[in-house]
Amino acid sequence: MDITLSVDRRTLLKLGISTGVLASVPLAGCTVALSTRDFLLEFVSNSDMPVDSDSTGVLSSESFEKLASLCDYVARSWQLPTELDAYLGQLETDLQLKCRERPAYLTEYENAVRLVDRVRSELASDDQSWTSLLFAEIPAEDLASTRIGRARRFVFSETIAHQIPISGAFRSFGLVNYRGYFGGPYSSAASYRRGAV
Amino acid sequence: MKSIIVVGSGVAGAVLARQLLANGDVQITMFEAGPDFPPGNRRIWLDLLVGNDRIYEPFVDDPREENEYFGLRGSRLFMTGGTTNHWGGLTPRFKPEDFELRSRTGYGVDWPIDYDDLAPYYAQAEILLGVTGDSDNDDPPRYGARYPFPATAFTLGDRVVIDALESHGISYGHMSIARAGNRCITTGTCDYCPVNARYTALFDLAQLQIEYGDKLTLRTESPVTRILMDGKNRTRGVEFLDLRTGAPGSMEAEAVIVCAGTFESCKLLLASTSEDWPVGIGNDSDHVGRHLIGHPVFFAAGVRPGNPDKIASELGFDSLISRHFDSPEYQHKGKMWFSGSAGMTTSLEEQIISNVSRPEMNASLTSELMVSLGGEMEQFESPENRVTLGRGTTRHGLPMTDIHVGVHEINLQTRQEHVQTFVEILKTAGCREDSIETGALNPDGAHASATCRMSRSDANGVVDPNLRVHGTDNLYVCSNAVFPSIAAANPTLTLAALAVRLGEYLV
Ligand SMILES: Cc1cc2nc3c(=O)[nH]c(=O)nc-3n(C[C@H](O)[C@H](O)[C@H](O)COP(=O)(O)OP(=O)(O)OC[C@H]3O[C@@H](n4cnc5c(N)ncnc54)[C@H](O)[C@@H]3O)c2cc1C
Ligand code: SF4
Repeated sequence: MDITLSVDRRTLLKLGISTGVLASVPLAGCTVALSTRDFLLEFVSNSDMPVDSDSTGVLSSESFEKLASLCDYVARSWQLPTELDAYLGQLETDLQLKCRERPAYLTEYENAVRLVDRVRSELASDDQSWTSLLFAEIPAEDLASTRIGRARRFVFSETIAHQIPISGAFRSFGLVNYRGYFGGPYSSAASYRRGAV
Repeated sequence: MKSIIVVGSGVAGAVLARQLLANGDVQITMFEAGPDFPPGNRRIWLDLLVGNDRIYEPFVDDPREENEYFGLRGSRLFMTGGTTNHWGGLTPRFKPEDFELRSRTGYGVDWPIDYDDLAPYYAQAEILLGVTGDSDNDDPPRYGARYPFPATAFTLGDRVVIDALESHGISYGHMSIARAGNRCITTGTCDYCPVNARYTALFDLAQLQIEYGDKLTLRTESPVTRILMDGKNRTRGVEFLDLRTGAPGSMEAEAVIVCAGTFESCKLLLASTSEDWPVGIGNDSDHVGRHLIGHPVFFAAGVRPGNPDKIASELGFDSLISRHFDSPEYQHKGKMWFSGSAGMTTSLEEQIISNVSRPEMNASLTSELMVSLGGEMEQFESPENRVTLGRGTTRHGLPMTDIHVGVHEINLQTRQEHVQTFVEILKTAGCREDSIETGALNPDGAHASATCRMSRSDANGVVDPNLRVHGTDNLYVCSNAVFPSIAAANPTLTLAALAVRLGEYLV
């Protein structure tokens, strides 16, 4: 038996993601096997800390590539700059840092990669897979504590929150500076837009 | 060489230590209840950047310390550098009238020193904290002192607020703010600055340890539990607890300076009872712990249709201030300052995570603008507002805190007037009336003051104008606790100025 995954705003809000502006879902719903749904909904933890946060280590380059493909998906889907090589180097450095130091994210990242693999194996494209992983509405009592809920919070959302400032993607909206971007000296006219007085 | 114990490693302790080490032959031991923390660490910065609000969780009060008024949890921090690790860095000076509250309004008390006494120390504190500001703005008077760094230019978003202020004839200026202007790279993550530009006592102390080596010893996870006295007048040192081993210890010194914040400074005096001081040191006239005051805050935000310039919050910290209502005319009602700016209603990453499409993101960026204002006002003191020792011990090895709020004399009517002023400004800025939301909060522990207030005689307070505890020779308090009144402005520049002044007095 198959189920259809679609997107729900409340589900996202329950994960701690707030938004004032939300449009309807522009992407088509995708279909995965029920066994995959069960896998996504397996309970992991309800802790605010990454699971196994004492298990430090190195994220394999294969795993990094899989997680990094999220940035490519986001860049293409939101028409952000797609030349990501320099940014992905920084992302890898930063994710490795979060695996090497406590609280370590290594287990959360590896769990997320398993999930990416599982959903990708059932869907036709990377894009469909990421659409489902990020936005699918999956009715569940305590989604935040499940594999998918934790991956959304600790891995996918955090990666997007890293990508927008550090890659400079915000500039494609016409902005000059953004929270998290090293905009330059505060006294330099180039570092942010001024309001003439 | 003079041996000095400093209790607490916040801005008061750090600024004082710098003054003492720079100008005197001293050996300082600084006790800090909380643990150490690394400044300018990329991992910690990354955690903050992606919305992880746990970075200071180990250092806040435990949940038992929550209160409706003067809530402690999340206001102060127990760690090297203390509360400046998450402060805003806003550094307005108090104004001349703030030192004369009683004479001018009949509320509270006057300070036993005046603005002119403190003016030269304000200027020094601005240099030590790396303050950016407008040196040509003489309200309050600067007597020619220049800020070490020029003011932050107004943002595009500030302009929206400024236009509305000008229509109302409300004066405004540049926010003075403690971030080393030669290092700040406008990252906007000032709760943990990646380059140590925003002032923290954490970074200041790290620099001091490099500059002065073993003349400054920092003992972290070592809460001081008691001040030891030799007879009534002389302190000989402190008792402390080593939280790593659980072992108690003691240390002697020629002077003890309590820089433990408004709540812990008075609690340490209260806990240090003896035959000579049966209700706590300096407490013969029952002022220790009383007169607790803070800043009620209020805010308003509204949405304006149309944002052709795609205004967004590009700077991430305040660059605009209005002290129009922070003036002698409003003093009898409760003066206030406020800041404001304009930006997007939701961040870009939140919109992406919520699956808002790019065309819709573009449309929302140009179709509306959120304008927000926030301010804080002076609270008048009441002796009923009081801190006492609670039962049990906190996770940082300190006694629990009991806070009693009796007559709570916030001038509620004035607060409402101030909020209404915000609403009018927002309407003038073009915000839809039905979009405007307002709110007000009781004072919390952030700017709490006055529990060891300064006075000429021990009948009216706890420390003298040189911050020495009345009735003692060599015991001092340096904290917002010594403020007799709180003014409308944020307290920390005034605290730093008092620390510079005390340092000069002691060596
Ligand atoms: C969120 C927030 C934002 C703020 N923003 C601003 C702002 O923009 N501008 C402004 O002017 N002010 C601001 N403040 C207030 C400012 O942070 C305080 O005025 C200032 O930090 C007080 O410094 P302090 O050194 O007196 O105390 P603290 O910084 O609290 O330091 C006291 C230290 O003493 C230690 N300690 C306590 N008891 C003991 C003991 N018994 N033994 C050993 N150690 C002990 C504590 O662990 C702590 O580290 C803000 C406060 C908060 C909470
Ligand atoms: S804006 Fe300046 S002070 Fe704030 S975090 Fe960035 S560099 Fe540090």
